[in-house]
Formats: sequence, structure tokens, C-alpha cells
Amino acid sequence: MPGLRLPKRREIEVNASIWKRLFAFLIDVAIVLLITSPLFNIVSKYVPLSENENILETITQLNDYFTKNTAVIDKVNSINMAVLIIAYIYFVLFEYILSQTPGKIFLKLTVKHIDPKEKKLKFYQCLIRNLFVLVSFIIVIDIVNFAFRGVRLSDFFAKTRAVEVYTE
Amino acid sequence: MKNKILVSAAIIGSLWILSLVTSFFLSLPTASALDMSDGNTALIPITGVISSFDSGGVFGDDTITSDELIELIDKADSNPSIKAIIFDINSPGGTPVATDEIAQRIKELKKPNVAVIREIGTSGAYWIASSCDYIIANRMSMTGSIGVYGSFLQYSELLERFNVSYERLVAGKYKDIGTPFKNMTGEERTLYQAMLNKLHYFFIQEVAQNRNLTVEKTRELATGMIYLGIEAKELGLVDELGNKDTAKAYLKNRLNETIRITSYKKEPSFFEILSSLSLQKLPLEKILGSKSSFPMVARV
Repeated sequence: MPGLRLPKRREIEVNASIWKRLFAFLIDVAIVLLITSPLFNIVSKYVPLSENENILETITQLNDYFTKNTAVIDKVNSINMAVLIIAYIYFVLFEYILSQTPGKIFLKLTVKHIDPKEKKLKFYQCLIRNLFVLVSFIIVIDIVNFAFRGVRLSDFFAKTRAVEVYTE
Repeated sequence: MKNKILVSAAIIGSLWILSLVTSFFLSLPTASALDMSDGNTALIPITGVISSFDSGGVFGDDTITSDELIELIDKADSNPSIKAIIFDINSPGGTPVATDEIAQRIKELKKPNVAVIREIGTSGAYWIASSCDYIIANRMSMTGSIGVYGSFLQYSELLERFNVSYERLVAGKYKDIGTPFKNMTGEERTLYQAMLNKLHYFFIQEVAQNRNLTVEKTRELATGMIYLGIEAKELGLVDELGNKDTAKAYLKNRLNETIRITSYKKEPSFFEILSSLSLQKLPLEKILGSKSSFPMVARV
């Protein structure tokens, strides 16, 4: 058949909606929890499960237990740090290699460089935009910034943006 | 898309392995006494001479301080997974204050507790055992010895033989009572004996109250005599003959659940580990218990 001159598929990029980003994040959190489940098993080994049905009494008992067992607090903190580091590696690796995490793949979101000429994210950009995983207080500032300016602070500093790609 | 799935699987798989390896290293016990909560019964050893102060020996000299022991009891008591406590006793006793501190802490426990006397649970160690809900001993265990002693070596005559004299300078005439460099006067001896008698009286009172015995009967038994487990059982100083398994059976019956033991013990210091590996104590020191720089410390 002689060459048909069909119009090229046009790609339209729009900023991803907050709900899609939140849902993608929740999917990723679920996957990270699955990956780090062996670490959570250790926590359950060190932290006693109370059979007391009174929540207030249970909290008091646990508080008393932690106060008298500082070594347990150190252990739980180490486990917490290990979980955060694994979560950080998860987000950085996925975004650097695929520009998408599994949550984003599921919701068809992509992380892109703010400059359209740059096809691939730089490694440092992935490191910066996922810092919120390690430093939890950043996430609060990030949410406030997103609510008022529509841009995540980490995207601003990493010069990236999350987009939804439609094709026509 | 197929490529993305493969990459995703590779990343998730690698991170899961990393998580497994990390969890293996983090689950290794640390130097501090971590409280592993798989058990429901704490086993706390009371081994060596009981004291309220560390005798300061570099190579650890079989002494347990009341602070260390009370810390372990507090940990077990505050852990909601722990339903009962077994005290594994192998001690000849110790100083009165340390003994009383431990015994009073045990009496405050609301969780069922049992004392298991192994080779030896005499004097202060028996005082501690008597404050538990139930006492189990082997038929050949050495127990009892309800008495107080404050004996010490007095070597003034030895010094005299070498022309060394004791230059007595005191403000307060009893200030150097019990010094090993001079003979005790009759008055000093009476005062010192009166103090030991008072300690003995407290000891008898405590045992009588803890064991539901009359003070008169306890006084009869409190001659300082050591009783074998089988004799102590007949005299009412011990509840049952047996061992740790007997204690588990008693607690299983009382709690109506399977007993799983969790060990609570003081982590040995570096020097103590070295000591246990290479150094053997002198037999005399082993017999006399820990050395003390205070010649006049009374012992129960």
C-alpha cells in the first residue's frame, strides 16, 4: 500500500493531579512495607504485645517498658533507620532507571526533567527529590508548598516535575 | 512494558534481599541486655556474693550488686509479656542492706515468682528466697544459715612482733571500732555484738513473716546452721524439692499457660569475659567469697 501520510501521534503532558500522585505514593508505600517486612518482624520480637484491652493502660505499660529498656529503643531506632534507607533506595533507583516507580507505572505518571530537552533524570535529581523519605519534617513543608503553589518543594529543588502523558 | 516489569522485579528482589540481610544483622543480640520477648517467664540468676557496692575487682569476683539485680527485676516487671519470674539462686549471701533492698523489691512484685536454690542459697540468699512466693531446692542444696557474722582478721600482735605500733588518733571514742590494728575492748565487743544481734533480729522477723512461721520457731532455726534441701523442706524453710522444671510446672499450674523462659542477666564486662577465659581464683578467695576493703562489714 503506498505510503499513507498519517499524522504523528501527539503527546500531551500535563502536571499530574494530587490524587493520582497520592494514590501512586500509597501503592509504593505498600510495596516498601512488603519489602521491609523482615525488619518489622524484628520489631515485633523486641516490642511486647500487651493482652490488656484497656488502651490507656497498654500505652502506660509500653511507656514504662521503653523507659526501663533503653536498649530496645536503640534497636527500634536502628530498624526504623534501615526501613527509611531501603525506602529511599527504592524511590531513587526506580526514578533513576525508569523515571517511574511501580505506583507511578500503575497510574501512568512519569517524572521528567523540567527542561524538555533533557530526556533522562540525573542521579542527583533523584537523590534530591526523594530526600523527604529520609527527613520526615520535609514532607510537612512539601505538602504545604504543594497545597499553595501546586509544586512539590522537592520537585522545585530537583528541577523535576511529575506529569501525566496523554496521547492523541 | 515487559522491560519495565523485569527491571521492577529485579529492583524489588534486590531490596528484599537487602532487607533480609539487614534484619539478620539487626536481630543479633547486642552487648546490652536486650529483653527478648518470646518468653513469658523471666529467669533471673542470683549468683555470687550479694553486695550494695561493686568491690571494684578488675577481673570480676563473683559479686552481684543489688542495683544490678533490681534493674533486672524492674525490666522483667515492666515487660507486659512477662507473666512470672524465676530466681535462680546460687549464692552464699552478702551484705544486709543489699539483701534487704532486693528482698523488698521482690515483695513488691505482683507477678508470681519462684526461688530455685541450686548448690547454695544460704544466709542473705535465703532471706531473698524467703521473700518469693514459693521456694524450690534440690535435696542436697545448702540453705538456711539464718545468722549474721562480722568476723575479721585482727593482726595487732603480728604487727607488735615486727615492732610496728598502732598510733591511735581518734575524735569519738568508737571511731576505730573494728580496726584490725588493735584488740577490741570489752565495751567495743559488746556494742558490736549488739549491732549484729539487731541485724539477726531483723533477719528472723523477715523470714518468719515471709514463710508464715512463728518468730519463736524461726528463732530456733536461726542458729546460723546450714540445712540441706531435704531438711529445710521438713522444717518449712522450703516448699518443694526439685529444680527449674519443678518451678515451671508450679508456674504452669498457677498461670494456666505454657511456660517459656527468657533469660535476664547482667552482661559480663570485657574483663569479666577475660577472667572467665583465663584466670582461676585462689581457692581461699572462692571459699571466703568476695574480698572487701571494709573489714567490719557484717554479712548475712
